[in-house]
Amino acid sequence: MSCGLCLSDSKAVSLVLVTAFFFYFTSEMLLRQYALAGMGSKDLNVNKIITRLPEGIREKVMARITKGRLLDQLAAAKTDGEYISTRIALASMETEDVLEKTYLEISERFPNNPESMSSFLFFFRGGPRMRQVSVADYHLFIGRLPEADRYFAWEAGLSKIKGTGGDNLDRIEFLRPLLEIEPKYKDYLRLYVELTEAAFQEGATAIENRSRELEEACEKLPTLMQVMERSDKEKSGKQNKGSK
Amino acid sequence: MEKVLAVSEITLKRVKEPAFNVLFIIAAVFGYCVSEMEALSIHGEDATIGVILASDSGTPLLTGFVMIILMTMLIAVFSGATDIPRDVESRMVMFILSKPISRGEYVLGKYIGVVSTCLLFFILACISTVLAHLIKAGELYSLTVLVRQSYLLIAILPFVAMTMMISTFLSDISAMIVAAVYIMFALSMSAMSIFVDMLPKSLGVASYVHVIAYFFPNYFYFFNSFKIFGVVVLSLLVYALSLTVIFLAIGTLKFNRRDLIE
Repeated sequence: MSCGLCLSDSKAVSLVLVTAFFFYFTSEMLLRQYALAGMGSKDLNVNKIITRLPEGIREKVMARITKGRLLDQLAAAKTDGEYISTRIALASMETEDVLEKTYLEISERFPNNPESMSSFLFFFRGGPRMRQVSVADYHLFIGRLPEADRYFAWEAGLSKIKGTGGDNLDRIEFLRPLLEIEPKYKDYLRLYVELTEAAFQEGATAIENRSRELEEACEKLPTLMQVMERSDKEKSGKQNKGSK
Repeated sequence: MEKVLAVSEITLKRVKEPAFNVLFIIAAVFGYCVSEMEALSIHGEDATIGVILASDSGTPLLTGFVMIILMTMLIAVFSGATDIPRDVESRMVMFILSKPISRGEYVLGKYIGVVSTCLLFFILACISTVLAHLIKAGELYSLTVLVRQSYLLIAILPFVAMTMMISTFLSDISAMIVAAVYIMFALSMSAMSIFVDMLPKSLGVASYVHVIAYFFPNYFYFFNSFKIFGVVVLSLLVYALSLTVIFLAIGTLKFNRRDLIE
């Protein structure tokens, strides 16, 4: 069969087309992967491109991209902590009602997870909401957390009390369990100072004296940061030994 | 094949026309002017395109050669989009097809002729650039760099086929305009289809954009940096050839059904 016949025959041309399309899609896929791999090492910021969009649609596009990224993160979440933080970040982009429902779900499903702290804080002294977290509930939550996360929970709770107009008695009520524990980090000093001050103003001498004792004890302790750094060094040291 | 080459020879004979002589002089002067331009890198406002085009690995393109290929593409649009319509208008096509030449062979011959014209322009400009570099810098480009620049010619194959395909549907001026618009769309879609790959998957826009992008050749691939031997070059060659075949096949299908006495 001559070349001329091949080309004038529509069926043959169609067959050639199908084969060509197969090679086209295959080679395109390979070239696309190469182009994307080349860009992976570069600082191609999507945000930079979006800033060139017209002002009217820029924010909407950015919000959609942010939401999309969070949905991708949610799908890829491997730990409860990752799941909780992403769920809350996603809900923060929705209405107040959705956010409250998400906080409620998180606080009920993951009561032992440090990432649930924002959920408990939301309902702690939060006014009329779907759930009320009392001081006792919040203390229970702190008790379930790992040692390293407890300080932050105390700190965040105290800030919430101050932010919601709590008085000295509220502060004493909240911080009182600290008198029963043995502080592990110097950071607790701040909390004991608060407690001492509130107790002094309210004339609660016993609490004030005990709090001062613990303040002195805290002075001799390392900070949480120092403990974590030490722990990291020990871990990397062990890993180095293991690799040798 | 002889018949195809005969048609391409007729097309190529046009280079003897004074207009083409001027074009080749322009090629030589242009090549000389762009000889000392640096490696292709786009900064500032156009950094996005720069990142898409330039990879960290492989041999980069020199801006001068990119300018030459862009000029060659311009010639490809003018020549490729007008050749067949002018033959149809002047009834030259009837004369050629009265010989034992099929329409498919005619399209293929025209294609080879236009590609050869572009090739001549590109080679002439490149020789001028290399000689100018030798005169100005006192050294030749390394073989690797030259081979990478010569790969730019691969882009010409689907490019000419695309303009010729459009010319089988339309008259010369319309074909030129449509080809230019199609190229602009192709460039936008090429950038967009790579851009959407960086967006979150859950947005679900990537697949739609990719489907649309498949209707346009991605010319960015030809301007990427890559090693002169390897899978990328092979893929690029297959990509260019498959696109060429697709465009020419569509053009042939249309030309086979076209009423040439209209």
